[in-house]
Amino acid sequence: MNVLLQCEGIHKSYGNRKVLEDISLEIPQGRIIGLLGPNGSGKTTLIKLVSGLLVPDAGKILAAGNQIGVESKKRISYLPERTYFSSSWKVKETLCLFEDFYEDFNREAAERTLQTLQIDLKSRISTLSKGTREKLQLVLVMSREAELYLLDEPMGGVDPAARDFILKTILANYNEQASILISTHLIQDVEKILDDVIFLKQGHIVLQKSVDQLRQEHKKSVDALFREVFAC
Amino acid sequence: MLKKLLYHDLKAEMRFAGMFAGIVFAICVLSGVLKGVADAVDTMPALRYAAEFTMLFGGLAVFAMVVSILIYLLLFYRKNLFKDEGYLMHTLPVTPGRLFWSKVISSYICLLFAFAVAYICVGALCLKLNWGVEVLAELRRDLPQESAGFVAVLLIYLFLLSFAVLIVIFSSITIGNTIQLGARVSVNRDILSVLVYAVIYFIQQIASSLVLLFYFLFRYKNLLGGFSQFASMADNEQVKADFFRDISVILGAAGSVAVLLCVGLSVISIHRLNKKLNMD
Repeated sequence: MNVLLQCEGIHKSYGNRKVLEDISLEIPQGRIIGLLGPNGSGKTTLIKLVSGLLVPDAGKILAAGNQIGVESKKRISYLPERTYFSSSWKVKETLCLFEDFYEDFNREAAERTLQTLQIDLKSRISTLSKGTREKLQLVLVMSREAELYLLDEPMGGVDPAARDFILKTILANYNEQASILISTHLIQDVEKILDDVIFLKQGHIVLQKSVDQLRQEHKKSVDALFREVFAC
Repeated sequence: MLKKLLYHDLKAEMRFAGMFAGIVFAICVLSGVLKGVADAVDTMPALRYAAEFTMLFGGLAVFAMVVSILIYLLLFYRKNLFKDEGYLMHTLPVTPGRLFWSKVISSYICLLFAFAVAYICVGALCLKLNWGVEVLAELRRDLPQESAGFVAVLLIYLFLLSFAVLIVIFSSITIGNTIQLGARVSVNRDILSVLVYAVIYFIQQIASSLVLLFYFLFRYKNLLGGFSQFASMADNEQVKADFFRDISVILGAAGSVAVLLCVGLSVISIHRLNKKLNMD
């Protein structure tokens, strides 16, 4: 099985505050992995390092066999926890941008999904609700035939129905050759689709196991184990 | 990829620039028409006053247009690379160098567009589209024949200056937004960018002053005496050609220093985007 993401000895600090310490992990091909941890544990920082928005202080990251750069960005599809389109754009322009820059972008699939969601291609981003913008971003990201998907809090701040849609979209567009790394707090919702989990606590990996193995060993759900490990 | 970046950047920038320029152009054309009517119909002082008022308003609008477009371009650069839109731009499969140069080139094209519209608007205000040619012709009449090249040097210098201004400001924004601060230190990145700009400006002034000093020492072998001799040349018709030749050389040298500074700043900015990006 190919390794799609390899992190070795990753350190990242903001000034004197250490956010990630000696993070080493491997993500194989064809897995859906939950990156779980409380606020400030370093989940978003790790995802940003892999997507190229931050530079590690030390360590090595190889994504789809490439150092973080142009080649890795061709193979990684990243969904941030915020809206990253200009509010003056129209929906159609976001499709054009993705089509121009990503060779693996499937425009027809994206348009079909947007039509199902009744999102008008001519509408401006500024006129869309927060939930609709998040759905738009997710549709664009998942309409790429990438090797690695990085989803940072894909269900944050949306209603339960929208969360169901997001999970359905992830599974519907999921390519078995690809891997998905999802960072989230909403473990109950996402647990059913996860193959593996990584627990991150204060910048350290405290657990990295398959969900099945975890349930067998601990005789409890991932959500219950999370509450136990990260109890305040 | 650079062409695609340029296309998207120009499209976004011209949205504002085109709209604003269109409004100002309409105001100036209206003002020109009013002036033309007031000139033709001499018997209505109210029309004359209205024409003069709209001319003044049109002139101010032209100035406001150029300044506003420049400010918009700076804000666009900052927003597109260092605010939420940066999460998209920095994850596109393009090099930081292409991201930087796409912004510089597209902003320069917008700025030239603003200057072109300003030129046409001034022409519309005074009902003379070739006003620039007349100004240049008058300038050349005042110059000695031997220093005809001075006007060309001046135009090239102004042409390069606006490009250099963009690079300096964009580099200041880049450096200000990629400086690593401690976790407990909280400084507004815009203030940092302004401070960086002030430092670059200071370095630029020192470099230009050194160029001037070295030129005087080289040309006149004496600094103070050379400066007095140079200043007196401006009033001496017999050596006026030498005076303008000296100015051309100084402008050329200052321009070269600006080019070197811009190359250095571009390299630093691209390096910082590559190695010190911190989208937190």
